[in-house]
Amino acid sequence: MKKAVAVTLAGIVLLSAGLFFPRPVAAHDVGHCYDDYDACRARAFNMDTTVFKMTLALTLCDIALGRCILGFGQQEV
Amino acid sequence: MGRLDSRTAAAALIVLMMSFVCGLGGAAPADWKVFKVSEVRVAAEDDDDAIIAKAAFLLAEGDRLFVVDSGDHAVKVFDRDGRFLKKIGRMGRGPGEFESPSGVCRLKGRLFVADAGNGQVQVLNEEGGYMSSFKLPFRPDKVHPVDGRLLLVTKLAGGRGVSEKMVQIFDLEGRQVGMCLDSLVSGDPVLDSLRNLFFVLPGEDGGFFVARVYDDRRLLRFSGEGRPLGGIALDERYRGRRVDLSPIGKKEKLTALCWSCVRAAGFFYILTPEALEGGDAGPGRIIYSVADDGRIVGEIGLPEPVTRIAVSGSRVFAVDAYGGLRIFEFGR
Repeated sequence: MKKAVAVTLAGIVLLSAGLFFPRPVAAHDVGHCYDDYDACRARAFNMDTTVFKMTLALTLCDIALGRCILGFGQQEV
Repeated sequence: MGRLDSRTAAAALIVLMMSFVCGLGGAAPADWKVFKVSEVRVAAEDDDDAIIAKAAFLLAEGDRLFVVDSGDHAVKVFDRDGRFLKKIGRMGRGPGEFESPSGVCRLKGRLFVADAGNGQVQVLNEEGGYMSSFKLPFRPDKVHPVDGRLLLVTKLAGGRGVSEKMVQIFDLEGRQVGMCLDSLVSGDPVLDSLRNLFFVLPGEDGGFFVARVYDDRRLLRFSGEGRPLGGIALDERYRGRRVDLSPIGKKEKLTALCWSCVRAAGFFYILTPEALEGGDAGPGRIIYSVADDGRIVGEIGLPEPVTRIAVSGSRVFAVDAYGGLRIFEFGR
């Protein structure tokens, strides 16, 4: 009985973790994230705007890369 | 009256001292020339293709000006007076089609286009007809001819936490023959992206120079195969613009040294960034011409800030903040 409860609890914990957390990095291809990241940075540089605005645009690219690698939705900026 | 004279003399002395201390901010020293600049009126075009959506690179060669328009996914060709001649390419993935092209160069009667979005270099004939292409394992940024026989392809580095070679050298068939210029890695991907910005300036002796946009006051010299040959220290009077990133949440300060940089007829032409409010910097309006020993030899003052430049003979071709093509004649 104790074993069954422990196995059930472990199952619930694993299931919740699986539902709560995004897919792990290894489970999806992150190559396109870096391609999009490079394109995002190229667009930021091509804006030819001030250094502040360029830095902010690069920060957005960086955030989008992080979101893409972690598997959170769309990464386009 | 005598009192007034002494006051005037004191004021004149202060102004003189200030101009001496301020260097670039004051009157130009006697050992560099301040060029007279006149604008060449560019005729308005009816053709929509003549509109530049987002200029990524300018190349002035012979009687042609090539504008890489990454916004319109094409290379636009103008004559020396800014008359639109033709548009090469359109958006797409097929032969002769581009996605966000970012650079062009001319070598052995062919045009080489950095087709950034498609991760390749496309080879075109002088008329813009497709000849061939070669794929790259990275997104190409700019292409430059080296030694009349090699093609130098640059990449935007930084942001991945590992050092990369930012300059890759290929033969004309697309075979890699060398690489150089390590990217800087600090752990801050955004700052790394900025600090790793640079311009390549093909030299006349088969080698090339690299000018970093931020912080490095040297013009780095390389052989055609990418071997480092030392650097040229920029004139001490050239200051660039100090950028304090604290208003946008970063502690660092950068020195923006060139907004655009080209080499023509044995001189470097450096478009110095303009200081803006709050410690920011942006496109500039002063171009310094610099000799091979790093000394400033001339100053070209444009009427308003520009983002990209190309120099050919006594003409500066530029794109202004609104994407308009501007042509200036500077008196030698």
